[in-house]
Amino acid sequence: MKNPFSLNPVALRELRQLVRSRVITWSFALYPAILFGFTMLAVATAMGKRSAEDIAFGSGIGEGPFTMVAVITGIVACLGIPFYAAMKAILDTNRNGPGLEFTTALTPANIVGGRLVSTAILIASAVATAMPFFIFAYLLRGITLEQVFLTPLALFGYAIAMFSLSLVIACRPVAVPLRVIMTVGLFFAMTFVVPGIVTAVSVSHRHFGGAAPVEEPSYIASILGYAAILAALVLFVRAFCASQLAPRYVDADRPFRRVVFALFVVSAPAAIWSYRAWCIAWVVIGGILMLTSSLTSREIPRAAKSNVPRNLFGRLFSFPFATGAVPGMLFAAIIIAVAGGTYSALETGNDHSLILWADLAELTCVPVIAGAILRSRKCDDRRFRLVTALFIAYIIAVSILSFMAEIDAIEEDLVAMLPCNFAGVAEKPAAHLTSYGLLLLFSLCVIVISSVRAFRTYRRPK
Amino acid sequence: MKVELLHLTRVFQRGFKAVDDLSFSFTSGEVVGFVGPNGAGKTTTMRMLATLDVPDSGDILIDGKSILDDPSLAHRAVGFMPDDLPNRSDTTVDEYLDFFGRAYGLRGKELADAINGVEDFTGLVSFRDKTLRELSKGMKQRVSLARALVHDPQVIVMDEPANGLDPRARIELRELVRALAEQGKAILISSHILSELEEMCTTSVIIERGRRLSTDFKDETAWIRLKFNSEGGEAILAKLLEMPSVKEAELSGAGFRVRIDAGDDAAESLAKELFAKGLVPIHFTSEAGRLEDVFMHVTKGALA
Repeated sequence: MKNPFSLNPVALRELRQLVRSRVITWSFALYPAILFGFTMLAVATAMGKRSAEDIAFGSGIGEGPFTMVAVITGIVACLGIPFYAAMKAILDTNRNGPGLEFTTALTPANIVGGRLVSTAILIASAVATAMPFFIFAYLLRGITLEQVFLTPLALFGYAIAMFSLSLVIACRPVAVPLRVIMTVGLFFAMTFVVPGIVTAVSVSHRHFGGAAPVEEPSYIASILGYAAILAALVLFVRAFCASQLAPRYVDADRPFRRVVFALFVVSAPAAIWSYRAWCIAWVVIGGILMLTSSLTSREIPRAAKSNVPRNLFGRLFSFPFATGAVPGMLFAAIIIAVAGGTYSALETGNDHSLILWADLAELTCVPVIAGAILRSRKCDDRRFRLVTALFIAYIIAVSILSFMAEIDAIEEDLVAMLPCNFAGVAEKPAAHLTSYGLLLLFSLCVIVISSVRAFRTYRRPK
Repeated sequence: MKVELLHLTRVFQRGFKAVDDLSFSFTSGEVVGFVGPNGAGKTTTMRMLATLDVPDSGDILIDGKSILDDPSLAHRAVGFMPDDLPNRSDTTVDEYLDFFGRAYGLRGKELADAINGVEDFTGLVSFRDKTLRELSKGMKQRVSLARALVHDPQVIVMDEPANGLDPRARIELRELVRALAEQGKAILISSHILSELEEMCTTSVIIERGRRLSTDFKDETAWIRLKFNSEGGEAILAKLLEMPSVKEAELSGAGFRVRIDAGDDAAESLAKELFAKGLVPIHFTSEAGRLEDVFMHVTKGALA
């Protein structure tokens, strides 16, 4: 990129194609007409229900039309456009390897970013088209000004989040039909959620407050919070998808892990308000990262090796960010250890080092040791992945159960019975050690099975 | 510009070696025919040269610098024309080239000049506003070539460019390749149509099962096609086989194929012997197909 402010070529290409797309052209031609028709219908219905006297004395009729516009815009912006863009991304993404874009100066992040920008512009256009109708509803009274401006923003944010999630599916290196099914499933599920959310957002006076911002500005913090989460999600998705799409010569994992690490550090102050939520969230994210890292067959490319620091400390700090299964698992282990250790320490009052170490061992050491042993024994990838997947599933399940116990969704006694449970560990240090041993025994069994399978009669090649 | 492929090996899942210790080199102005049966590893090698894949071992050097250490070298120097055609059906030719021009970092006048230049060179000027959907296969191949040339690379890698083209489009493509070679580009081109490669290539590399095969085989003979204006194929064939210069003879369609020593002297002798026997040919041509002969001789036809 010679000029950093020039429009991303991928975004430009996507926008040009959108302009040529008949689906988009017709949709954008019909969309205002549909908004107009349904708004008028809602106005007529509202007027029919209210007497002229009610209306004259300030009891507005804008709520019905406003909700109608919000629901239609929600369907178009949060479901229609992200679904269309996700399907296009799936069909454009070559399963058999990187596309011709990767023979150019474009980086994977440019390519994913271009798609995000073009879809964001399309979503913004859809929301902007609805703005006159939102304002019309406001003029009919019964709606606050905050609702008029915050609802489109909420819809925009939700639509971006939807597209980001679907882009994660679109960029997975699996068969196109499978990606299509997963995306359809995601949107099918969200179809039932979106209208409810949009309705709740648009009509709830409690949510955005009936008072003026000057009197009750608390919602600004919520808005900033949602915006921060959305920005974090978009950054995360962009980095993740770029790492998925990158050709083998790219040090794909490094930018992704940098983003994750930055989010980890930036979000750390949130632990002051709710350390449980922060720790559990990062233990789960760490578990997912460990799973995806164990599944990767990528190795650090030669082009990246020239950037490896020469001194030992530099290499030590750089290693967890490098592309590959082992650095990825180590990175995830550090995240899990810090988050899990923080949780454990705060929960037990910092006075039980055995518990802390048992937790760290279960959460990080076992998968890493087992993974290292399996790799060194040259187990085939499937078996290695299976073992890691089981470890991670176990950790995530325990984390989720612990969290559910925290919010009283399940009996705490039930969780305490789990051998690996960093909340209820104080009562069961022996059980912890047993589970530690069982997990290692399990990996030993896998090694034995693999070794027996490899112990075959030599056959001379034909 | 010199391109060197050094001991390239690419192993896919289950130990399948698509490319196995492959080495060769080519330089500016050369057109290298890259030949091999299906599954021999041609496309994998070309993809590695275009940085779309990475070898498990070995190296690729451009002017002595490794593209594995610095892939951007290949991005600047190599134009890759894959075997599949551009599929963005709603995009016009101009927009398609504009995207790739921008993707290579071209902007403004530089970009406009580059697009005009390649459209002019590939004969796409009158098609620039048409969408890719509206183009024939031959025209799409031209678009693909234009895309590969838009950043003015010095090395062109073409994977089966003549695949599925009609005879006219093939001839036009051949002319374009020749023109590129005259501009001093180093060209690596794969094709199944060996006679065509023979006409445009300065040298060839034959691979099978990912390995380069020896092309040291020297065929010291040549095939001549003959046709006579008289009946009696078997009788003529018997006469041909009696001639001293003829090593082998066979019926071929309405005429004959005879194998003689390579060179003009042997052909002259054959002509004299034919007249001496009272056989006046109405058709006397030497058969192209040296590459075909070499290919058939060195490959076993087995898939890798």
